[in-house]
Amino acid sequence: MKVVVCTKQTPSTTADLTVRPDGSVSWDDPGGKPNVVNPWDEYSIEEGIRLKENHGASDVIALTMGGDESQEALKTALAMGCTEAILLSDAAFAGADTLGTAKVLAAAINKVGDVQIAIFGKSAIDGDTGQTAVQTARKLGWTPLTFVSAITAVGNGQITVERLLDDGKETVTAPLPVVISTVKEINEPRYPSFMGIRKASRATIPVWGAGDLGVDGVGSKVDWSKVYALPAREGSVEIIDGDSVQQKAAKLVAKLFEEKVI
Amino acid sequence: MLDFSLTDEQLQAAAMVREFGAKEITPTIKEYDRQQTMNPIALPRMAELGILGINIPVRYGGQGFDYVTLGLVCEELERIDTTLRVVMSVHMGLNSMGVLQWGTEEQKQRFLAPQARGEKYAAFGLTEPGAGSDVAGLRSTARKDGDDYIINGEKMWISLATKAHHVLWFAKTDTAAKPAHAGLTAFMVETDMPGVTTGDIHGKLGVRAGSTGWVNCQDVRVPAANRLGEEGEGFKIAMSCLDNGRYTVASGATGLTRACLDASIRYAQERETFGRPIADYQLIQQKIAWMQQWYDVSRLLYLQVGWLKNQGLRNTREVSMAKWYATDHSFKAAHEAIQVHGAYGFSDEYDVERYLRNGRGAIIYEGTSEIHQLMQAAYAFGQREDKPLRCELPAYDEAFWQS
Repeated sequence: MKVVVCTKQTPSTTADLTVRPDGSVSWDDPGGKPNVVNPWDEYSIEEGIRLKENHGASDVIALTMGGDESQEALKTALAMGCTEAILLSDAAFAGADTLGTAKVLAAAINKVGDVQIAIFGKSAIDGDTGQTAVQTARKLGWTPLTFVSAITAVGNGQITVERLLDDGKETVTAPLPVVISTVKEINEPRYPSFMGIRKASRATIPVWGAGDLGVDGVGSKVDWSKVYALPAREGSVEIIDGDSVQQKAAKLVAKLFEEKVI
Repeated sequence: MLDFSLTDEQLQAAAMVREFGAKEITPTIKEYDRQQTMNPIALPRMAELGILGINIPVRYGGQGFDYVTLGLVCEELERIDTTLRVVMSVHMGLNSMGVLQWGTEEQKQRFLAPQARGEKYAAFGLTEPGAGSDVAGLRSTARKDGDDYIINGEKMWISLATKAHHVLWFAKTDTAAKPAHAGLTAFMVETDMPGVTTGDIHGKLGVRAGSTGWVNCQDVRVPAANRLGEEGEGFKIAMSCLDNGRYTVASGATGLTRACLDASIRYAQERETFGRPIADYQLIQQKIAWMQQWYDVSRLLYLQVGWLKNQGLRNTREVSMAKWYATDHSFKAAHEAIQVHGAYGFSDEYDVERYLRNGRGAIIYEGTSEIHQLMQAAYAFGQREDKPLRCELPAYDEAFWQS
């Protein structure tokens, strides 16, 4: 059984989205921090490795679609313990929307062959749509299991997971193959190991393009006609003074009425 | 050829250690510092993550990285807290690298491998209640008795005294030797041997979240197989171990300077006086510039030493300079960082007062700054020459280290 982890290189969590005068977008980190593995994917990578350690998966293959710089995300996945990594890169993939990305990922998963579980983080912190996992499942024709907080059993051609939903947890069993998206409650991701770091830094990561995957028409159906930064929130702080707690509370309530907050 | 670049592997290893420290140590460091106890997860986690064997060959249980990486790791550890770096100074620099340099193959398998795997913790027993800089004046003795030695004596200011399984112990096998240092011999004392007792010292100015203590040997029977090097080689072994320990202290102190610099930059941009962030004032800018200079110079000095070690070149003078400069200036940096923070810097609400307390000890241990000044002057006047040793620290050989 092979497991594929689909990951993405994203800006750091402290990066700022700014729109340049020409309308182009910059995701620079004010502290100069480099791009990182999408933080939600750390959990899916960890879960992929655990499927190898605890559930007999033979290979854990990290896939990402992106430019050359996305190799860094794959190297992190290798350093954490993935057995293989493949970069999906082609000029034809540039500007793909989530559906286009799902097409490419599904084609790559089929090309890897013998994959029973494909794991995603719950969303990527940049686009934050959370659509790619389910769209990939649709393209593959596999069962999507979203918001998974635990994999409790794998075997006999099926998988049992817990899904963390707004109203509680749901235990679901589905036939393999499946596409899973994970939430952070599922595990505590490990750090890259020293041995893994060495292996990753020496790894030559294969690149699969549109021709290798036999996909076309990846381009975006979505047109980003205008991008603008959210206006900065404005507000001020007022400290309510008073001789006693009661007096301060009374003043606060009066103020809230006055501002029509309550 | 001059190459200042670091490899991806070196940078990633440092980043991993930084992440570990920030996630697992930083959140509670003030608590443990106040309580004067070591965070109980520190040593086991450093062991589990492989930090305790970072630059030891894979064949001896280590991670197979080079000496430069050891420096980068120590910088990151002390950036978090000095006590973490102190672990590397004694466990790795002063003990494990001593065994790598002087140990027989059998000793490397028996002592170094479990240390590098983090199954055993290691300490360094040189300083005594009455002998610090005056190494040859130590009182501990080792008397030959058949195939064993009987060790008596007390060691003081020993980092990891109550945690270590192995203590590299220096004792006199010849109390009448002239010069006195020719009578010193090194032994690996195992702390579960009958007659070994240990204790912690409390009330230290700094490294309060670290373990510092004493180790006493009362008629401890140590087999000759635990003797490191030959009889009478102890002084040379101790000095070569210090060449390695000082490297970790220098790189660590560089991290402390960076911690002071980072904290000061952050605070100077947040804190306003007279309607402007204090970063706008030139006297604050001057302090930031000094700290940056001290950091840059310290880092260049220790990385040069790392390079010399990788090449297998003797570095006694260079590492003495790096240790002296980096520790003196990390303390200065902490002093300036407190000044940038004003009254808040005087309180343990901020980290910089801990940096000052933690930085002070390193100006005393592993050669006081005064000792290093004497050494530098002696080199300058041509009065000091480093003769080749019977066993040199092996040059970093990637193929040997990683196979």
